[in-house]
Amino acid sequence: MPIRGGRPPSTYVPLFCRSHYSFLEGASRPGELLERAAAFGIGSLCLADRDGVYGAVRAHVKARETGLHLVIGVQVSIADGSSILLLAGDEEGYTHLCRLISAGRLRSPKGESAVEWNEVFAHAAGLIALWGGEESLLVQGPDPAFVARGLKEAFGDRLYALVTRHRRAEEVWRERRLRERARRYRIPTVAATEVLYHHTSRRRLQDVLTCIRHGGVRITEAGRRIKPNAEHDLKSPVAFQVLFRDDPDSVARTLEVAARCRFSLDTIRYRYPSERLPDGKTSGERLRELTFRGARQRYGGSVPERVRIQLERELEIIGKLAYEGYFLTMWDLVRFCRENGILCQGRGSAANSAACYCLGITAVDPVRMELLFERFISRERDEPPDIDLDIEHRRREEVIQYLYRKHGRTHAAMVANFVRYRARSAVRDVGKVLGFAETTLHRLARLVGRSDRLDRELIGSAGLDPGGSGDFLRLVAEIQGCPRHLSIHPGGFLLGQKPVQDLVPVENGAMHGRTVIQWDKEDLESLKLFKVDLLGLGMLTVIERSLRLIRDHWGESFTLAAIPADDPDTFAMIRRADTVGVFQVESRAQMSMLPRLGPRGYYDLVIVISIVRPGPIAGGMVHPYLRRRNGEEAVAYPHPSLEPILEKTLGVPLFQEQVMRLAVVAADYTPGEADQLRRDMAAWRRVGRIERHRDRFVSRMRAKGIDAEFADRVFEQIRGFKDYGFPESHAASFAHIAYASAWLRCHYHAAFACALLNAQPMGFYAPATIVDDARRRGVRVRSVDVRQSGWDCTLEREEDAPGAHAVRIGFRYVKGLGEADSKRIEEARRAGSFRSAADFASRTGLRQDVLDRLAEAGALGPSRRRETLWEVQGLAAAGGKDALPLESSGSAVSFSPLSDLESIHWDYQSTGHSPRGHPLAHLRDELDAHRLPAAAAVREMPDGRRVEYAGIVICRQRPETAAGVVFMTLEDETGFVNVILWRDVYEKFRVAVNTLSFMGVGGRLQSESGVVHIVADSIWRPELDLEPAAIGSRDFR
Amino acid sequence: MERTACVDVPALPLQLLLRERPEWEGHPAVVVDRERIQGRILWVNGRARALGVLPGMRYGAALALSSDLRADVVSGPSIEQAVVSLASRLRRLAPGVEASRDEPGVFWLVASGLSRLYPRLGEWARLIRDEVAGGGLRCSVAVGFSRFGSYASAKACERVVVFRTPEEEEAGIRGVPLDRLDLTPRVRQLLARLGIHTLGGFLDLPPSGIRSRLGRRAYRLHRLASGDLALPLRPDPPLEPAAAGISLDHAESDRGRLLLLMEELLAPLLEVLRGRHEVIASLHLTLHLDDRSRRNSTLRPAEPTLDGTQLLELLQLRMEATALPAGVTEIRMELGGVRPGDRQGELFRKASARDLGAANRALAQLRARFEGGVFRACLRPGHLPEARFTWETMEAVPLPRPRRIQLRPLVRRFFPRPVRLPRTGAVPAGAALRAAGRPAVRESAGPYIVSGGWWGSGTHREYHFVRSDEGPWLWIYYDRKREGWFLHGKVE
Repeated sequence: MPIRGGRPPSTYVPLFCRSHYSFLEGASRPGELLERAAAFGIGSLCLADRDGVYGAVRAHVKARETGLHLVIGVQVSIADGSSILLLAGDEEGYTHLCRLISAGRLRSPKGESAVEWNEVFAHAAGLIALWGGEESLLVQGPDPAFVARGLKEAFGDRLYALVTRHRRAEEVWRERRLRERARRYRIPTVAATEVLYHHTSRRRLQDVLTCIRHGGVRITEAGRRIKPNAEHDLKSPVAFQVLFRDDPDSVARTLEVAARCRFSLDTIRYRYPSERLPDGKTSGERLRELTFRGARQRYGGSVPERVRIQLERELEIIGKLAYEGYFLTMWDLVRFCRENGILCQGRGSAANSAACYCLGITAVDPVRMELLFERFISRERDEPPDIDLDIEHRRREEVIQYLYRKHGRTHAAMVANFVRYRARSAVRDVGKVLGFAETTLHRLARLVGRSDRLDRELIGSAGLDPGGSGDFLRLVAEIQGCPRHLSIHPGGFLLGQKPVQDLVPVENGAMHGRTVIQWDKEDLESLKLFKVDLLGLGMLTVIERSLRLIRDHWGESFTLAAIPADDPDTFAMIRRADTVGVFQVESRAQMSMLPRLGPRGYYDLVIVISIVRPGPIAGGMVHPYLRRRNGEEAVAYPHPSLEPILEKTLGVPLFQEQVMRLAVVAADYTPGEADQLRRDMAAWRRVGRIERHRDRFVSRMRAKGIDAEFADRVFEQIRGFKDYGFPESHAASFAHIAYASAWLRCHYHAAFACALLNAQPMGFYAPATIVDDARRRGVRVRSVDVRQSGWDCTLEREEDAPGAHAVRIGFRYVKGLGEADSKRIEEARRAGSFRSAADFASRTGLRQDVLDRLAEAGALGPSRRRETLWEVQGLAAAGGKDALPLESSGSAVSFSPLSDLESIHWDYQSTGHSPRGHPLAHLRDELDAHRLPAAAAVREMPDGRRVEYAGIVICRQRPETAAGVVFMTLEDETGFVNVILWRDVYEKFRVAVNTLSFMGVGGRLQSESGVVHIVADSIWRPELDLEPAAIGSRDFR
Repeated sequence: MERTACVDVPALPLQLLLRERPEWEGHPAVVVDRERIQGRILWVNGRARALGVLPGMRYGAALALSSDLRADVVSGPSIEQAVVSLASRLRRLAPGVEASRDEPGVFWLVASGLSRLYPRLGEWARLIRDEVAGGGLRCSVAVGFSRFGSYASAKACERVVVFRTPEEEEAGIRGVPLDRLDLTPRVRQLLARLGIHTLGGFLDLPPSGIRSRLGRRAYRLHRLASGDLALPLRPDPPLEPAAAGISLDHAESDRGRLLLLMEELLAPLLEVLRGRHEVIASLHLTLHLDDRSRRNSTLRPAEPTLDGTQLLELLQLRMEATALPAGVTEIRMELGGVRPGDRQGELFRKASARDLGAANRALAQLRARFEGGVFRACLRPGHLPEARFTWETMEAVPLPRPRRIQLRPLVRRFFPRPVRLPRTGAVPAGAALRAAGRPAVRESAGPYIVSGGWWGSGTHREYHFVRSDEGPWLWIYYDRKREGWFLHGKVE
């Protein structure tokens, strides 16, 4: 038996262990089971989750750490309702196991699996079968002669009868029956307990999970759905022997079974699929040809020497590591996108590669930017490259289906994502099981919010008794991290030379036409498997649509690559923070940074994108960088050895790569350790991973003579990267898209705004803000009109301003109106113009609520909207498509006309925005009377002045890095005003801050480098005669 | 001229809820239709309304506006009960009371002919308000001339309003806000969007377009408000119980004679129920004895009936089972009536070998004979032996469906309460039994552990089956929490 580490042989092997990857059944992580087994001195453990190997890789990694021998098994569900345990004896057996589970999963609805006995017999080679347990035919129902004979024939001496004991009275007769039948069929018995948790303390969690699995039944009503005792823990060898003291042979046989299972995930042979190549070329030759062909195109015919040398070096490493196939796949995907007019661009560390740049995968020239190729691929690291491809989000599915078509469903499947419990979901599910009122739980879940913090104080705030919440708190803490179900990674694919289901079971995704493997991204990384990431990016959709509109309406053809670089007007606009809708630099925080940083070129954008991140903010790097950039502080380096690393960023580390290189140079990390540091930074929200680096990192830097304060700050930055940090290459790729979007906004605002409105929902701002921003920049926005509009917003030539275009709002913005309704309107319009509202209703056959919305939006006529609304009432019932066209009833009813403000209200209620004006524009006189200035006036006020302002809230944020400070953006017809609320002010005005959409703010003005904030000391509800409409606010995201 | 008053107890379900939960005072609170996130909000208090929580919202959406929001369901029966109770209170002050069938909390009162008792109707209205307040509820009262006029005014006013002339009432209701009237949210919202916020504006709309555009309910309201549809007041008659009694000159101990007296009482009561189109579901009998004590009994026939013979049989059985330490001086009898079911005739029903009707009649007789009722054991999905079954009242005999069994299983009889063995601590089962004076254990099996209930006080029992040379298998357990051995039963 391959037991490592020189452990003394243990007296038994637990063969029936289920982790929390048996969703909502097991209550311990695979790692906890293995750690406990190691503590007991048990040498082997078999993880046999239900119908899957979801936890196998994590268990495998932990087994390596603890020196245990891991047996991989699966509890396979059979179509007759019974089950059998199958253990992988060797690689062939593992392959069979994966195929068998895939067969069961793919034919069943999501979350279920069932195989036939004949399939079990057919996949027996290399597998060991343990037949028994509560659900087995060997203990239930009539004598299973057919199955017994089939199993005996298929598995031979690899078939065992599994005797399980959990100190339950009813097990006695079951075991008697099992032994009788085992004797009859000459099947040797093997002893086991069904392990559902590593320690009895998890029994409560297992009960709760069971209740959740049964639809959230209350624990007090769970009855026999939950286990009758706490005997499903991992037994110590002594306890196990006591339990089976009457049958030592069955105990000894556990060792025999484990010894027969020689398979390890280390032995799997994975090969990336090779591309079909023309002219009998090898992959390497093909990749070289494409790379240099691309290089000639990129560099205008002749490849610079530096680039050639870099490419040769990269191709050599790629060849040595046999990664050519992966690069060819990425090139092929980019080719497919180009040929089909789909915008795409590689992101992440791939931008460090000149080969990726020349193959057209990325848009950043790493040679010019002096990016480090080793950050992407390194021979020492020996891990596959990771290329993430951004694709315009509306067309990503086309690329996914292309990949399926090309490689076949057998050789391509999407990577899984485990949906795990977090505080909010835990509160809901655990609380429901414990019998709390759902309404109370919802309130508590809201209080927990995204903080993932739950304590007695919060429980008291929700109206529950904090004194009696001990079990609840403990269970909520324990369940967090438990996987609840399987979901699909946003765009990760696993491709294989062999069928994927020989490597890992494949199952159906919730979305039609999707298949998903049972491992997630981390599992693939652990096994060093290749992943292709296809990610949807809304801004690429906006750029593609903008370029198309420019071509159609201005007759000018641009491509993403051909957008003029370093345009001064574009950078001037960015410096003014006039960036609503611009990729990555549109947020409130970015807008506050732009005037201070004053970007003038592409690399400045790279810096801007990287600096407003939790990493640099938490590390206190932002202000030193700004001071140095503005010449207010000398550029200095904490140690001479750090100058080459930090030179680019004026001595202040901003990028992930810099932190890694700092670790190597200043803290003597080996490249491997630095890479582990990177992984720990990337493992979001995994508590403790980063902390283990602190002592070592800081003490070594100090030992090198680096200032302790600097070392601490760098480490804080590393901790910040835990939440979200950018590598330089990634920021460089994003800066490219950011610049393109800014250029479009600067020079073709109408097209940009139109495309942005059509790509919603995306980005930072609500459509109303995008519309108001366009209007402030002189773009006319026309309201939706049944005579003109289509589903999407369109551009219309401005008759009175040659060359200018107005945006016509599309039907997509009429609430409750679907794309099918839009088609009906357009079809009816093609047949002839509408004579009246009744004629329109009759010919389109639209529902009453849709007619109401259209009338309210002014789409049936912008004047006399109340009369139109009265007129369309009852029309949907009166006539359908086949009814005779009705003329207008010519109703004599007249209503009071809508005021300007009411018109805007109606627009907001029916379409979520108003092309007629900003809600506050018509209240300006009244606001002036209350001495409440407009945003434009606030911006002109001197620093330190006391100010009172009223505006509509469009954004509320409370970043984790801001120590409880809340930031808000308020808007009026002249622009934005940023508001800062210190923690005590926020606590004082919490309800008003969270609920008011139109808000008054009093405070002191803070104006610096053109960035203006009101530091609020009071919040109030402005007392006006009329209330403005609410604009959708982006809150605490 | 006829005077009519209307009493409006606004948001009655919410008032009932807040009366039940005084600790919610000062918090935003709502009544929801079900205790779910998707539950629809039916009523809101002022604090909740101030935070933007409105009727019709989903509870989840309302929580987004106020995380402090309190919510609960108020059941239909509790509302009905409150309406009955309020009507009863109002009858103390008004000769006729009609409770609204559509809006719980609205009552119309006959206000004519009260001038001698209450010269000023305003005073009378305030008394009504105080009477309702005595029940812990708040109301408004409008005294007017028409059903609709008083209703709309009561909805609009905060406390008390009295109209002196019909013209004053007519003018007054034009200013009533539409959101106080019973319109659907859709219609109310539509009218608001058309700029119509008061009853006056609503009345100005042409009647011809209202029905097709706003629906029947709005059309009816329009007709009522315009006087086109006037409905007379229909006060609910107070329902007298079907009860009768007889006082005896001399204490009577002879059961036969008592039964004859009961028969005499029963016959007219049956007629009363027949007149109400009801049948008897229960019979409550009270016997006053000469020693000043009382005997109360409730009898239920096999199924609701007007068959006097069946009832007399049951009375006879009950009388035979009832001890009478002294003679009876008074007999009171009250019948509980229900609407008869609409069961189809049984003409074509296949005759069954088993007569369930007869079985149920026998069951009713058993109930009459044994006052405690008839029970049967039902299986329950619990782990503890005593949680694996429960006793249920047997209301009717189901058609039996016996299962075929091949082997007669062993029968485990267990005691109603486990018998504690002498305190020995955590000794083996045999020692515990020996300490109880039982013979030495020859054979045993176990332990079989049942533990759980951690969400409550918790249980941990280790069961053993033990047998001595003589006697049956005993079923005992060690209770870890109570630190003792218990005899739970025997196996036959």
